[in-house]
Amino acid sequence: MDKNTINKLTHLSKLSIPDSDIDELTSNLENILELISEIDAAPTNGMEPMAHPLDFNQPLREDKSIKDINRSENQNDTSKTKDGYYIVPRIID
Amino acid sequence: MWETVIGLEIHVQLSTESKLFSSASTDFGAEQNTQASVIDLAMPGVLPVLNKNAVDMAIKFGLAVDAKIARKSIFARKNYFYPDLPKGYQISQYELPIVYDGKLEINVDGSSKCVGITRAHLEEDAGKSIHDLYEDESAIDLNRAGTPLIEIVSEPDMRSAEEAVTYLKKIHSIVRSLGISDGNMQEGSFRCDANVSLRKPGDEFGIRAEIKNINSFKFVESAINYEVIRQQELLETGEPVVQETRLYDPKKDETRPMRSKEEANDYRYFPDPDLLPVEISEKKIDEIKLTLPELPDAKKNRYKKDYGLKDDDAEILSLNSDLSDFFEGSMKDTKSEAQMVSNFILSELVGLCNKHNMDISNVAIKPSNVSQLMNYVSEGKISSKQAKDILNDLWAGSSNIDDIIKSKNIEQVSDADILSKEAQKILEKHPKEVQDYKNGKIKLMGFFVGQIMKEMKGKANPKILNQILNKLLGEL
Repeated sequence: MDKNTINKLTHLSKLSIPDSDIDELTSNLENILELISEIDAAPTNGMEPMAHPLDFNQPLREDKSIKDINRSENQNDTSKTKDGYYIVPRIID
Repeated sequence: MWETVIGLEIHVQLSTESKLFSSASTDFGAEQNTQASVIDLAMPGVLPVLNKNAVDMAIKFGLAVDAKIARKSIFARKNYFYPDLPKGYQISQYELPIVYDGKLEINVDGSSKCVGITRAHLEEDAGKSIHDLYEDESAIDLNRAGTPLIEIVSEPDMRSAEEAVTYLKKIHSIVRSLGISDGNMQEGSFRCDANVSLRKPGDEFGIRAEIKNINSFKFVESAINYEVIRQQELLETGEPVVQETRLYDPKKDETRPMRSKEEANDYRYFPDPDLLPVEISEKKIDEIKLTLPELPDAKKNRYKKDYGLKDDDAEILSLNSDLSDFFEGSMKDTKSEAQMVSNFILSELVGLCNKHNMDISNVAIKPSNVSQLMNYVSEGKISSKQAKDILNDLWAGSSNIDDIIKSKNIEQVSDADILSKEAQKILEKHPKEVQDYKNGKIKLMGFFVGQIMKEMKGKANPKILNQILNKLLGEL
């Protein structure tokens, strides 16, 4: 775990970490990785990867639309809306 | 020489009533954010529940392209941040897609080739970001968020823009025939990404550029052709092609790199713990097989066999279900030859559609109009040139063919007695020409026809008039 990896992680997760916290964060993450790495010891050769711990089938829903959407209620906790749109700082792609 | 290698990823919006994981409506054009439910908005504590119809539609598509249907498939989270993706991940499929290993035959320049379909997976669409509405701000409409898509991924089997467009058109006609998508490219129901690279024949694949979100057949062709020339120029001057995502700009007819896409493409896929694996039984697959409609290839063969259409025409009609519906509607009450009806539709009617930039499904002209016109042509009541004129009148708003014929006074005279009398008059008036004709100047037939037509204001049925003139001149 080096500074480049930390930078990549903060970029991917859109977090900004003060420089002063990076050393501590690095050592914490290393500890977590070490703990998790014990899983590598489990013999998994030839085992089918498990997608879900529950051995059930995904239930399916009939294709019916329900009109129960209250836009103003949904937008109550939003920091900025205009004319029913969510407003964000300008994104240019 | 360079060989072009193309693979396509096609996003097809499924025409379900509700979204992939929520009961919000998928109708296009609703007021912003009135069709974004708490699930689409990623409110805390909500759970996605899979739409049965979307699964059935994906299976239908798989069966139509000879693919395998996964007995067990799983959903995965594709993680990235973008304002039109409220969850911070898109629910998609990664390791076990619902459809895999299919193929499609395409015909280009008279030879057929098989394009492999690697996979088709179910996923949800994102919302829409609008950048030109407010100054310095972007507006987000999440109505589209959660709309079901299938993403159809081809093998890199295509070798020209023409092959790519042919493949794309065929997929388009299949999803429309199956009724699983309206295929509307303007509204974004059918979008395409093209992966393009060049190599020396026999070499390994070259480095590819991905051109994103192309939304018309014409643009796919132009974008690929532009990209081929761009990469060729790079390679020939020894510059490397960079693996990147590019956008096609139809106004400038060029592709350019996208500025700020996740450079690492590090989507950190993992199975979505909110969704269980989807198991599909053999019985279910068999049931869906029974509901499959006639597909373009079968339709094309039927048109050739039952109607005797030319290969090219059968192909064009079968690949566009609006056109083939129109053709079959026109054949219903007709005594005319199918090839003639097909010619009329494909040249005259489609010509008008192209000229006015309209779709045949939206025009006021009905298949019954074409059938009536073609019957009149077959009966000799009107000429094919006149049928074309009447079609123009119908297009301009007239609705009754018989009224048009009356008002234009263009009904053809096919009555043999009347035509004989007129012909005799003309022949008597031109004894010298008759003598020359009998001496071998058979080109004068055109002169006689012309004189009679002039006399009858063009209303003589040319076929019958010719027969009568031949008979009269033979007897003289």
